[in-house]
Amino acid sequence: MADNTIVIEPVTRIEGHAKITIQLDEAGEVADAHFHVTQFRGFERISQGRMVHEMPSLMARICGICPVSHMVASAKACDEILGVTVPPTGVRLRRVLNLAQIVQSHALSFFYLSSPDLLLGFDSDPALRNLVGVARQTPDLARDGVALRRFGQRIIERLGGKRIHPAWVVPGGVSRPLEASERDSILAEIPDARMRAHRTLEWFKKNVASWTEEAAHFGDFPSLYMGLVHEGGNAAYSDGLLRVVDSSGWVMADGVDPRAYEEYLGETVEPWSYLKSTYFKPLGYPAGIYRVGPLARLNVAERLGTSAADAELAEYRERLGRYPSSSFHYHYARLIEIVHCIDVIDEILSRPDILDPHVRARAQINRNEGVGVSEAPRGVLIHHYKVDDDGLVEWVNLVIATGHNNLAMNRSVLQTARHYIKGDQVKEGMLNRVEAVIRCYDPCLSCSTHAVGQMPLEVDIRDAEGSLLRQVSR
Amino acid sequence: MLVVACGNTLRGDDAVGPDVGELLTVGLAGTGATVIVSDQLLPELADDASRARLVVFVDAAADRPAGSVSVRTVAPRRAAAAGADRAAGVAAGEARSLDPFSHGMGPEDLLALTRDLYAAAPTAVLVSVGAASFEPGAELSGAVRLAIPRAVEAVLHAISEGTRRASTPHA
Repeated sequence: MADNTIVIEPVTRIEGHAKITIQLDEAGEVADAHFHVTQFRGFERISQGRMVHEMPSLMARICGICPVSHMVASAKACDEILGVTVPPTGVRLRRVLNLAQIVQSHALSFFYLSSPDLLLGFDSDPALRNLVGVARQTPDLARDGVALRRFGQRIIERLGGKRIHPAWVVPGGVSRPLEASERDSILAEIPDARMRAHRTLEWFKKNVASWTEEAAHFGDFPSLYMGLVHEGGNAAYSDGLLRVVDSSGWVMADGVDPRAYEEYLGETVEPWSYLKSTYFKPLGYPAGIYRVGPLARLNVAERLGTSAADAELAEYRERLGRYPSSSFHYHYARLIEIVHCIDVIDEILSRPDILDPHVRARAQINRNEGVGVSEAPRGVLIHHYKVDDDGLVEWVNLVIATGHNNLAMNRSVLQTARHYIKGDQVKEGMLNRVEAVIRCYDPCLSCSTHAVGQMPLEVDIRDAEGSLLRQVSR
Repeated sequence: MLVVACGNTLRGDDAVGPDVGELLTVGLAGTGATVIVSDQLLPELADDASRARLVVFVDAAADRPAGSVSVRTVAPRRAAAAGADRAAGVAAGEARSLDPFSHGMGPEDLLALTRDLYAAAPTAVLVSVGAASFEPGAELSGAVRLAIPRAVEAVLHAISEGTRRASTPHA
């Protein structure tokens, strides 16, 4: 490591393990910065030799926060390999599960991981800058977060049998239909969840002016945006086709069947991180930088498709412009998505056919290749499998939301570091802001590193000759 | 009554919590007690804990003889703990983290969150089963497997005691 490098390790309040390095030039200004993912998961290799019908449950083990996303994308890849059409009620139940997970994951990201900065301040005491600190200062906000997370997790538990790693999503559909009592208990909890989601959104809108400086320097740059949309332009979370737009809304690709993702998305590996970087192939690397997830979904879609969320989306666009470019606004977009997901869950579960017992199609291996795509909380998730005629998995490629965002996260870290870190005057709040821009993306690093823990943080600040100027510990 | 049984089913004896929890799910069905089986303690469990008069935690313990079953009461972590650490000059790396998202969130932290968020103070006990190994993929060790019935009994006894105390009229 160079002597004029600041290292932030670990990056706190994110899922997974990472560090940030910041290189200073001889004048003490930030010359470069990188976001390094320091953990390796290797599921693309672990899966080889497994039977394809095991894949949804196996892939769920990639992550404890978003296992449902992997189950849904995996099951869809398996559906293609079986050559089946999932019964409509099975499709809808998968959607409910996926949306419930988005609610609980977004709640985790906003309330547990990012609200301590927003509520207590980026420069507040790090020992108290966590959910406990939020609970003591604004217990209502903390309770709303806990309740929303619990709401999403209880749906997952009722549908799938357990809150984490449910085994309910299978190739061809879901393993059992929904019972009326389960549906009714979920519907009974929706009004409370909806109220809390709206209350949090109102709180955020009232306070958003407090973070103007952060919004201007937390990853505010032009990029492409990618997401799933339905025909007609509504945001899609479980199905739909891929759309890519640029920072002014120019459509770079539309109506792309996810099975053709390799024509549009390239993957590359940098030596300083286990996280692959993806890029938009027509523009090459690294010009083809793009973002996925809540900010991107709201940029890509014309509308969400539920009235309350679309009203919020209209206000969001009035405040920030049609295509907001600052990654800080992931927070705002995430809260709007919580509102939308709750309303869609309500709509789906209120359908009379949601109790239909036909929820799974069965077949043998009919194709040797399948691609499944869904919107995970963090963005587009792609599972691509190749199997032999007996269904043994021969090859797996996983393109994870956090990987799509890797180039953008690195650019964001550099922008934030350049604005806040000056020479040897490094304060803890400056470092926290560099971490906080990563939190905007809500990366899931356990999900994202498949090709091969309470830590103390010490930052050595040295001059160009390597002499130690200062040491910061926490 | 709430039972929270924790552990990673993919790491050897850490699975004893979930195994005990699954047995209690069946054994306590229809009694009004709620059993939650979870990989780890999470903040949202504070909501569940706030609704209970008694919370029984079940978990594997690395610092106890393999196969032993012990029961102790649990109290919420003191509100001033972090401030006191800093006032005493305790190094940041050694201070007990109040961050509830670390994998080290314990029953005391969850109860503290329950107190802070919901002004609730359920009685709580921890049933610990001494573990021999936490190796990935390993099955339960023999000593821990043999301890499961005693652990279940300990939980049932704690619930029974809690029920008895709750129904005893005050002088």
